[in-house]
Amino acid sequence: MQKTLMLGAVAYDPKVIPIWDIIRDYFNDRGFRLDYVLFSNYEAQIEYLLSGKIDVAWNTNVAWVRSYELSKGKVKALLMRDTDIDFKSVFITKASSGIKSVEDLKGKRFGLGSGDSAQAAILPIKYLQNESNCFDEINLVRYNSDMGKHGDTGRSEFDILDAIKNNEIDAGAIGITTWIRALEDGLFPSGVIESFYVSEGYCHCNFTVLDSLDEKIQEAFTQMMLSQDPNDPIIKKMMQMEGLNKWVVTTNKELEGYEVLTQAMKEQDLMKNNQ
Amino acid sequence: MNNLNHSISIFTGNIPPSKELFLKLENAFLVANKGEIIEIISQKSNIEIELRGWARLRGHEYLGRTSLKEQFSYKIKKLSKNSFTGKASWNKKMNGIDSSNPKMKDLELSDTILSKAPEDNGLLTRGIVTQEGTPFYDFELSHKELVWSEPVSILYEEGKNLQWNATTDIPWNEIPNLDPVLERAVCQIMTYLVENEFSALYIPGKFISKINPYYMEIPLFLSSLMNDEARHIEVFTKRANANGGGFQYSSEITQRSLYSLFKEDDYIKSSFLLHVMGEGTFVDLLGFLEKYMPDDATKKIIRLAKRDEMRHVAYGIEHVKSAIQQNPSRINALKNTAFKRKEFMDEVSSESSMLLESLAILAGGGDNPIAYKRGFDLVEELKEKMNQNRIKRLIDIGMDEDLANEVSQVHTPNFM
Repeated sequence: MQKTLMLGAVAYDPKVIPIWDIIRDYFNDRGFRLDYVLFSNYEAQIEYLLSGKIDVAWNTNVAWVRSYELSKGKVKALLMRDTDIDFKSVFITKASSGIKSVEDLKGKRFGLGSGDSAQAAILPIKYLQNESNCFDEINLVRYNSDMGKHGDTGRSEFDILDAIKNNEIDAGAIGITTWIRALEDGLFPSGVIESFYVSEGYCHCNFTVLDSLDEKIQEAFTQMMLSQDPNDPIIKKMMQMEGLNKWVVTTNKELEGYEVLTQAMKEQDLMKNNQ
Repeated sequence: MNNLNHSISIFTGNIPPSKELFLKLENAFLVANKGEIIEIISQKSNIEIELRGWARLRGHEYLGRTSLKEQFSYKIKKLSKNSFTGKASWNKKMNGIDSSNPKMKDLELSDTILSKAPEDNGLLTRGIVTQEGTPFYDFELSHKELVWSEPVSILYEEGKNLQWNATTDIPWNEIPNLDPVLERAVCQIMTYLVENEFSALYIPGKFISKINPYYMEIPLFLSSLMNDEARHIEVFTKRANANGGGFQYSSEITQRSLYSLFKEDDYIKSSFLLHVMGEGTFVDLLGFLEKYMPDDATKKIIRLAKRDEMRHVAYGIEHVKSAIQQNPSRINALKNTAFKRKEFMDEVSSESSMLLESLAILAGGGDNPIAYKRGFDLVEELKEKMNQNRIKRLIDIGMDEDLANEVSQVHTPNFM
């Protein structure tokens, strides 16, 4: 490999550095020259990918959809985490609220996360529109924290959890991962908060490239990622920090998992990359 | 999904999706094998969102839900590899429990004691099942032949049974007022004993953290040994200060001798120098002291300390002996160690004059020329006896007689 493959990632958390250091070392130790640059937001990363300043972008689903639309379909998703497939949004409420379904949200305060978060805002709006016949009568409360990170930090989802705890809202939307972790961490006393709706599955992050990138390089990158052994202690550490059990190739089936988001972003006029 | 056979069922009653529910799940999946199906029986009709989400996050496969009588069966298949290297034992009762007499030797922690400790053996021992990804300690002493001594379990039990108390087991008030010359000699001897006991305390301490706890009996025994040495330091200190004297002088030769012992970094060599050569000779010295101590209370101090030291020597002899049996060429290394130490000692060419005079005064019963001369001859006799007993021990560990003679001759004039 002559040229160093340049990968972009968004620095949403300090652990991003050890994660990419481990991946970079893994590549370099095997004779594949790879380096990475960190961005403070996905919008900048998308611009760098589309203008060829980076070769691979570790994109959220929102960033993927935008890259796809802005490039007029000239991008490719190579692979993703096993946990990126069949990702879901969950609507939660206090067990004592009496809310048992989306229909019960009529006249209630419903929390949405960052406007650029697929799991906590963009898709929940679409699901509310689809599933409830009283969408206009729901009081939407926005928690636009950490914009530009596309919900990576989970900050706005924790704001929703706090707001429910403090009775500022009656219910809210968060990602399934945040929901399970909040339960596992015992963020609330047992049984105080419960879920009353879970969305269909959709897809989360992926490694995006311009389809003009040499196919051999695409293939070599994919194989290098897939060859990482989850049982190797250093890889295991990286995978735990990055929240996956194994890397999987993105096929057409997985690409379908982005359709609902693409539709929602079009409906909500979120295709532009200027937020 | 009813026809999917599960191998483990966990009952969660009406526990909602929560920290406690996931804790149960986590542990059930930890001990399950890859591919096993775990059934969660719950009174909750809909915990599917959370179970499915949890399974996805952990990389497992959620299979579905069926209704049972008044409860629900949820099934998840474990897809990740096994988390533990094996299964923990169960339905096992230690020998000696029924008779209220469980001994270390009655432990059956594994079928055989491996000649090399497993690589993933951390701060744990035989029979404890290790989780994958456990940190790698890299204990320096991870081979059985480097540390093991066959009777160690028995010696450990003995060590505990024969513990005594340096405060209450000695009739301190019965120590008579001795002639100041004699008392000063006793205090000088106690000073010397304390120095030597410090080496016997610190040297095993230096090695304990390097011994793989897979061979758990060894660090346990060594800590009982260290406890013995601590008690000896205490009791000799108290005796030195009991009767108008106090600590006396430390000679360069004593410290140099102990230093050469302390600096040895090879455990077998150290065990050889400390337990076989040093403490072995020390036992003879204590026998001598016991014989000539003018009062019963001090005699008792020496006798109890000697009993402990004999146990330490027994450990050392068996340890070095089995190490040599495993690898006979070690004899040469041990010989070289003894000679190297001698070379180092030769840089100061004298015995500890203060100690020897005190021993002569003690054995002779005073410092008038006749008593002193008699005592001096007795000390010379002691040295010869020490030499003979050293030779016996060296033969016992596997040296031939000529070599044993040679090696014993170069032993430090400091005795230890």
